[in-house]
Amino acid sequence: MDDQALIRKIAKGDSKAFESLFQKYKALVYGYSRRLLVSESLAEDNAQETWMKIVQYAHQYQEQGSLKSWMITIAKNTALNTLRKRGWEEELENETSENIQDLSLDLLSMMENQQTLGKMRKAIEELPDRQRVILILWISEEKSYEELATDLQINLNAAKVLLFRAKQNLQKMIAEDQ
Amino acid sequence: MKKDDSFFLENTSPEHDQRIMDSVQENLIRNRRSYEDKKPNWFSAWSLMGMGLSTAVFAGVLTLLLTTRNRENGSELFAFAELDLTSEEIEFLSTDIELIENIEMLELMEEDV
Repeated sequence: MDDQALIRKIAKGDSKAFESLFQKYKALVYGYSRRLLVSESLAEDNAQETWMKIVQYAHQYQEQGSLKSWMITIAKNTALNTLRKRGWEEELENETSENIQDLSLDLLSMMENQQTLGKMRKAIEELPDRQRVILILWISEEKSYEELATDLQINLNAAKVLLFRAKQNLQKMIAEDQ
Repeated sequence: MKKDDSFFLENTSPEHDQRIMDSVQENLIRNRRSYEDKKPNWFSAWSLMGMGLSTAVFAGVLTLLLTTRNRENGSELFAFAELDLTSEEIEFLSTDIELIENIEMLELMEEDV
C-alpha cells in the first residue's frame, strides 16, 4: 500500500495502516528529531508528538506534496517550538555577511561514506543550537537563505552568517578529528 | 543539497515504539468516530427509498384496480343505455352498489312485464 493510501486510512482511524506507516518512517522521524535536538529524551518526545500530530491532522494532509516531506515538516516545527521554548544556547550578534565566503565543504561525499557520516553526525551535535539547526535544515530541505531565515525567525544576514559559521566549524571539527 | 536519508536514519527502541503506538490510539479512535459520523448512512437511505418505492407500487396497483373496475362499471352502465330504461330505473341502478345484482333484478322485472 502506498503512502497516500495509508494516510487516507489513518484519517479513518485504521490502526494497521498507522502501524505500517510508523514502521516505514519511525527511524527517519526519530533520527531527524535527534539531529535537531541532540538529546535522546527530547528527540523521543519530539517523535512521539510528531506521530500524534500526524494522526490528528491526517485528514488535513493535501496529496499534492509527498507524505514524507509533510511528516518531516511536522517534526521540524515541533522541534523548533521546543528549542524556542527552551531558549537558544547562543544569542544572535549583530551579524554582517561581508566576510562570508563560499566554503567548499563536500558534505555529500561525507554523507555517502559510513565512517565520515558518523564523524559528521558527532561534529554537528557539538555545534551551538542555531548553527546546528540551520545546517540540518540546509542539508535536509535544500532551502534558500530566505526560507532558512523564516524558519528560524531571524533576518537574512543572520541566516547567511549562521550557515557560514556552521559549515566553517564543522569543517574545523572534522579536520581535527582526522 | 542532494542527499539520501541515511544521515537522518536512527534506530528506535521497542519501548519507544510501544509508547508511540499507545499514545496515538486515542487520536485513531477520534478519527474513526469522526469518519463514522460523516459517513452517509446507506442503510437509512435504502430503507427510505424502499418505503418510497413500496408506496409508489401500492398506489399504482390501487389506481390500476380502480381504473379497471371503473371501466367494467362503465361498460355495464353503457349496456343499460341500450335497455331503454326510464329515469326512475336509471336512478335506482346508479344509486345501487351491486350492479350485477341490479342487472339480474332488471331482467326479472322485464320478464314480469
